[in-house]
Amino acid sequence: MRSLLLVITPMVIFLGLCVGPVDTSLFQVWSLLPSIIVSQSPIDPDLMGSYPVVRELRLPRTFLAWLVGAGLAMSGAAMQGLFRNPLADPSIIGVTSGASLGASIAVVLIGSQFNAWLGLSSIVLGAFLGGLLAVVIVYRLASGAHSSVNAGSLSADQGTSVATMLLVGIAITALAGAANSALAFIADNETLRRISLWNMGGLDGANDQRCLVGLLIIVPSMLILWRSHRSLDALLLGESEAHYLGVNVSYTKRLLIMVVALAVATSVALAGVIGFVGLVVPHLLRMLIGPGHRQLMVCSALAGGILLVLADVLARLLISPAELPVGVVTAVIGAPFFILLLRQRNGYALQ
Amino acid sequence: MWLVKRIKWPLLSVLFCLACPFSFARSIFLIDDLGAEVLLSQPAKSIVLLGPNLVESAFAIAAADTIIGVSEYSDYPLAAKKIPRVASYNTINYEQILASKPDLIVIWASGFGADKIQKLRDLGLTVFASEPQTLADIGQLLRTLGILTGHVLLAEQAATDYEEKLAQLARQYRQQRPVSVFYQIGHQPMQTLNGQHIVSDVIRLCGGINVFAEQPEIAPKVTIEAVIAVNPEVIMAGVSDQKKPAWFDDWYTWPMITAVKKNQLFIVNSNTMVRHAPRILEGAKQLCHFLDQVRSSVEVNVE
Repeated sequence: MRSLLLVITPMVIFLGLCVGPVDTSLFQVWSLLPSIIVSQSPIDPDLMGSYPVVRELRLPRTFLAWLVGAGLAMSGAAMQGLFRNPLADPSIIGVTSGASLGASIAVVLIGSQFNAWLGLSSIVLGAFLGGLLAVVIVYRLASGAHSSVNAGSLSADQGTSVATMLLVGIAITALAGAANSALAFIADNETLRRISLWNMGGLDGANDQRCLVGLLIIVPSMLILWRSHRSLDALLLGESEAHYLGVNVSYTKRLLIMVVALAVATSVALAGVIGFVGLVVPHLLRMLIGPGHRQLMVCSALAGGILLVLADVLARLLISPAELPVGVVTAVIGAPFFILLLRQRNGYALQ
Repeated sequence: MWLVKRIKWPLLSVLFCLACPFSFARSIFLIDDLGAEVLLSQPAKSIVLLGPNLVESAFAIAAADTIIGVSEYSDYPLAAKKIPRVASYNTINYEQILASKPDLIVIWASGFGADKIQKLRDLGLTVFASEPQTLADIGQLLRTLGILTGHVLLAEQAATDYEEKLAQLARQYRQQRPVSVFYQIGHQPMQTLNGQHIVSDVIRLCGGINVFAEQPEIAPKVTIEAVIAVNPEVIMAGVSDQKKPAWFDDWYTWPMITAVKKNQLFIVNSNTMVRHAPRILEGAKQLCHFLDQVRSSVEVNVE
């Protein structure tokens, strides 16, 4: 499975470089590859016109799509394993709604004029901070509620209760959603349009700076998540079982939640809210290759990257020269496939 | 027979409104833009206008003294800002409207939606749903407001004046060389407007071609690459405060677009471009003027 996905990945990335409203043949893009990878390499004069389109628009966009897709899918795999709940996805700890609220606040209060820091707009920074803040609140509340709600449960678990965290996450999501609606209510038409389009996800803001930020935050996060694969496997047995197997349960929880928060806040900040990838891709892979997190996390990341790049290609292609919100496409291509698999298999590792 | 249909029989409505003071004992019967019957026993003395374009139009026919409530963003002319707000851009304060007992509510239909119009009617209020679409519809809107408020002659004057100016612009630009225009709204995400939108009508009036006119959505989301692919001669960003936004200079990264190469990038005031009110001719003049600049610079290049 992993080698299959590894073969498909460069193919869809190449596809991502080839597709767009400007006509570029496969061959043209192929001949541009050397100059895209090595910036010093000379460019064929015939291709001067398409070079900036491929290099400045499609490359960062495709790369960001892959990175965000991979990050979301792997975060989803980790959250489902950690919460032992098939409905868990990266947004369950409140990070997505927090980021969404942060972005709305940035749109309403600051507007689009401020456009400076590292080439990142105020929306990106607002979303990032909002996402992290929401997780910190969820985490603190869940830890504080520990003694009363989780009384009688495992004594070794000094950290947070999974059930409480889920509930607090839902509450914070509702609260952030309400605040978001209130902001949308006072916003004028133009601001409202920006908030709602942003909430549908979009990779059209991709540029080199955003890719760099993604690379510096999402990739290390994925490595840390992957290194926790043993603990996640043990946690599938239950928290006390994991504890007796030598897993530091509360440390693992805290680590995973913070790392997922960081990765998801970054991806929401860079590409808007893209649903579905984080929820469904890990399930898909779990059905195909089983619940072992060592393989599951790597394959989820690869498949998530592939799905989002493909979805973005379709988003650009279907109503070209205009484009669809990418979140709509991920759901439309992913959901039927997922339902098909669910019908073929009755129950698997998480149920 | 007395049905006043929009666009199709503009003349009929004029005849009708001239006749009404005599033959119908000042009672007014109109069909609104959504096909509903609107009956008033006499011209409305107190009206609520839900839509900034309606307020502008009412001021244009000197019916300002009849307005007792408006919706948010009714900011033109300045005097309109002092009228009580009874609705946001998409929600209505029903209690406040009921308390003010208006004779009539004129509402921008697609801005508020059929449900809200029905609710106002269910509350026993008289509602005229307005849905002007083209530049030509604005003259009709002025006349309709004239009938509803009893300012028939002033409305006729304003409408004729508007139509003459419109016709003059049309004559002036009909023969001009077509110029392809990309009308930009916002930055990330970037949107434009398709051929159904009145902005596209204004571009057409000035002898321009909206490069995304054929898109099915009214406000398609587009990308820089799409703009490169359609290669417009002019890029025009509609902004509400007429200040050049920081992102507008990002276009200079893309000299392969004709508009960028020739430095034909303009900022227009979106409030004078998107509202169905006589002031749209100001926006049209500005836009036509920009396209003229582009045409003359092309001639210079040819020499």
